[in-house]
Amino acid sequence: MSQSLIDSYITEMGRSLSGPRRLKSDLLLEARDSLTDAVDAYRDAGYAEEEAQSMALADFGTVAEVAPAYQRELALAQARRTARWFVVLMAAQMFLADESWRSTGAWSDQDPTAGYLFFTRFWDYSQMIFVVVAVLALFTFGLGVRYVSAPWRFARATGWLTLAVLGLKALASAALLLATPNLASGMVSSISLTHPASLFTLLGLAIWVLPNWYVAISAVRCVAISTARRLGTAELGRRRSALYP
Amino acid sequence: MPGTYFLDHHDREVLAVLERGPLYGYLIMEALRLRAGEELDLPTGGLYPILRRLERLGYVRSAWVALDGRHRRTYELTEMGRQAHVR
Repeated sequence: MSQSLIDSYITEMGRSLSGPRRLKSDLLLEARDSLTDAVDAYRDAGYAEEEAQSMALADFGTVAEVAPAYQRELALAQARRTARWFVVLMAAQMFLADESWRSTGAWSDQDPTAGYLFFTRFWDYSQMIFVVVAVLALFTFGLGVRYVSAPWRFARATGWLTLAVLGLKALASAALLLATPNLASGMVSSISLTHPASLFTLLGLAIWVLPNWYVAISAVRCVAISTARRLGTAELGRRRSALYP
Repeated sequence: MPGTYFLDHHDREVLAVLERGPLYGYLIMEALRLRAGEELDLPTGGLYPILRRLERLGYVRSAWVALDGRHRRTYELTEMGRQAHVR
């Protein structure tokens, strides 16, 4: 049985949609199933294969017509994922920061200045606010969808906000690294080729930095797939199925 | 009607169809066509995002079920979906 028309339709649909891979392939699989059912029904009603396929496709709607509604679900899923990992990252690193820095010998020989203390306190509170905001975003994209109409409108903003906070976070980390005596030098001195423990330090740094990149990439995807053009409100045309006259 | 504010006409029709039992996409579409009679202003491709949205809202749940040797994504009402439809 030739499925060429259906195949190229699904391919075209796949090209015009983007978002979390599993959800996308799930949606495409379901669309293909639906088209296969429709072709079967038209064939059983006596139509030739080619004709049955184009009638099934006509019932399904053009890619331009139906893709925006699909893309909204994908954008929401991406925004939810970004917000979720952002919360995990911020909360985990907020609590781990003190612990990991102490081990490098920072502030072992002098007391912090007032300005330094003010900055760290300010940053601590900022981080808490970010976590609260991210939890709110998570609610909006989770249970909150019941109370928020068109929640996908916030997908793009979620991506931008996440990127902005990650940028601030990188700046604050760099500032703290430079302003804390013995922190940077403690890290550098613990890294040496002869010392096996330096592997752990490098591993620790990687574990610290990589999740930031992961969340950033998720946020960039969130922004890229949630453009107004992709989520646009295509009017669904009226149609009559030949099977139900 | 708290919680049901964002259900539009199509959403309610889908919930009404599912009230009689779990169905997969194509059969839901057939039932919608029969209910609408003359003309249905919804292409088949418009149904699936509606089903996902209803699932996101907690009115339906879905699972891939093996039927007649094929896997089909089958939808059924949750308790909330049942109540939302009654109202």
